[in-house]
Amino acid sequence: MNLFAQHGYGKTDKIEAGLAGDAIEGVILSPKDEKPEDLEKLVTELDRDFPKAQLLIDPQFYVSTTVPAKDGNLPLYPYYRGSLSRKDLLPARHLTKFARQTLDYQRRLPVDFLLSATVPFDDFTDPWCQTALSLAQESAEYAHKFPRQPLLLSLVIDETAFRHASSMKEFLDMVTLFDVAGFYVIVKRRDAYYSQQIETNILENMLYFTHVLGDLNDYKVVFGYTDLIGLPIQAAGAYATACGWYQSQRFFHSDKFKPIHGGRKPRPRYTSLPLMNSVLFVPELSAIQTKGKLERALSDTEIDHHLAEDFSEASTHWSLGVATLHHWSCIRRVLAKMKRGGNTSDRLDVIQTMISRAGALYDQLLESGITFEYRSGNSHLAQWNIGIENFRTTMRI
Amino acid sequence: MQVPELSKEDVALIIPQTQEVEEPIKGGQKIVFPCKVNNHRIALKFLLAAVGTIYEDITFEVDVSQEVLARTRREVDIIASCRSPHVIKLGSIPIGYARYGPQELIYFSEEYVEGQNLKEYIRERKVLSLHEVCRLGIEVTMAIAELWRFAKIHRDIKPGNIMRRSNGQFVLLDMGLAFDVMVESLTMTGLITGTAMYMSPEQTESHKKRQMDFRSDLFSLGIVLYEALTGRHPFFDPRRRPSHMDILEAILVADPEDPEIHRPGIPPRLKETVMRLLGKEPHLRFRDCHQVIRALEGVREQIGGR
Repeated sequence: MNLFAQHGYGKTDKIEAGLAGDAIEGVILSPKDEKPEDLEKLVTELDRDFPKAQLLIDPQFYVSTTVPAKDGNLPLYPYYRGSLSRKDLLPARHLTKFARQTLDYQRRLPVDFLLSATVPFDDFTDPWCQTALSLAQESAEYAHKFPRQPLLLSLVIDETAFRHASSMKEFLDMVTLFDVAGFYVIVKRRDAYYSQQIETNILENMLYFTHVLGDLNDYKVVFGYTDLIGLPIQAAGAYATACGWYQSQRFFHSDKFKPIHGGRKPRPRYTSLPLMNSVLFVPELSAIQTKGKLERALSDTEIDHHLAEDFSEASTHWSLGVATLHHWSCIRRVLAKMKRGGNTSDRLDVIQTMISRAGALYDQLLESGITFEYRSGNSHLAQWNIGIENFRTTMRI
Repeated sequence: MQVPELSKEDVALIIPQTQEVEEPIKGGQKIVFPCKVNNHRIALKFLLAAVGTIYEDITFEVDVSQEVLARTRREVDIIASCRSPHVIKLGSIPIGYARYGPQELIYFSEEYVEGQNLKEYIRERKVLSLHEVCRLGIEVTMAIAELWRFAKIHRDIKPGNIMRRSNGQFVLLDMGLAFDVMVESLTMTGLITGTAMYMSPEQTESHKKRQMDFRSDLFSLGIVLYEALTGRHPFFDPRRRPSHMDILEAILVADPEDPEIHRPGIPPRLKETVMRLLGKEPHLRFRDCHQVIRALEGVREQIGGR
């Protein structure tokens, strides 16, 4: 059970601080956000300064099919092709070339896992899924030549694909034949706004997917672009989940790589483990403090102790860097608790107990007159609990 | 059931180098004559080139003689390439085609295994020792792995197709030859191949055209191991003579009882391994044979001795 930083725009020293403070165990680097020479320097330095850190580069080949794309520095990378159509991806020789070039770029760098090229797909039965499988096959075959660098097959799957259990299961039948170290999975969310909410059956099947690959078939499953939802996913058997500092690095939306105009800086949030959510620092957390219920909502990390001692002083220093370290520390706390449990059932018990307590705390806070905006509310708790419960029933866990 | 009509005298005429031809054994769609060639015992097998059998009580005729011969030849080549001691070896009479009276015959030979068929072995003992269950699982999985090296699946793993040599080693027989050579012609009709009681869920759903792999064989092995552990079939009681539909439905939807009910004291890891082999979906079983072997070796170490 590991937590990785999902690298992106505006890294400053957050990654180094996270690794130095043991808040994260590794990093998934984003070529879109760094020039090749800077990325190579960064990965080399991280390897030198933090030899135990697990380093991965998400090649982001999947951006190739977004037209037009906000692909940043990606066109500077030798393996990347912009504006690829399905026709470009049909000839087998093209797939072979894309798969090999993507791995060749990573092979010369000190990374712990190679990540394959892939294309996003919306459904387990659509033609793009076949292309993704073909790229996976090409990558797996090529990677056998370099057994010292384990391969994770990348998959970028629309969340709605998980509504269809039978096609997901057939997909699992196929991918569980791959002789690779594991999978790097990104779930493409439909809601363009950051939130913990997810349809119950999508969560149930995501947990099934993770459990089958991770716990039953012994693959290392790394979920990119996750947030607190990464906790039940780790409980189900993921090897690692990754989240970054901005909301756009904590969930993956297809618009992420489309050109956008305008936008504003998100309001600072605070990750409350007792609420199993990130709430707005102002006015939500400050209202909880005013009502004298702050201690109940704090996450009990090192940073929280400062908040408890002097809320107004600590809140004025609530920078993005502090919030990021705090968020990672919160997730790490839960992971540490789950690790003590041992098996899947124990780990899920930890999460469901937290969900149940969070529900009770929300009720108390709401009763005392504190209001939460839609995304800070408690709707996700029931969704998570039902999703987990259904998964447990299916798997008899 | 369509098997060649042959006597041991006929065999001597068709293949003159055979000696001491014994009374035949009929099984599946083959007739098998134990005999000697150059003083080595072999099992000489004959099957009809033009007829395929689906179930033991249904015969389905397909005119596939040339195809059967060509594909049988490919299968025989694969067996010849197999290096596992747990896969039956070929005998000294190579694959051949013969016309005998009105019958079109394909024949080939396998080593003659001194020992006992697992079906009889279980029947005599009711259950196998835990150590022997592990050995059975490990050795048949090794055979499955060896076939999968050539992208082949057996499709008909059952106690009747497993021999226990006199030295205790298990050997997988009948490398799906007959069934495999027919399988394309038969699946075109939407019918299914194999022995129903030991079929995997995906075998019973051949109409869905799902690609099968070695995990189908692992499911069948799971049934065999459950039987070896408990003396019972995991999905139904064969003494009640269930219909084909009952059998297929049970394989698709029924959950096996906890083997502990029938045999207390089974090591949890052994139980877990057998139950996982019986997963309804291939991805719920094991992703490679070595995982199964490692799991069973772990149990064997844990229980120690015999």
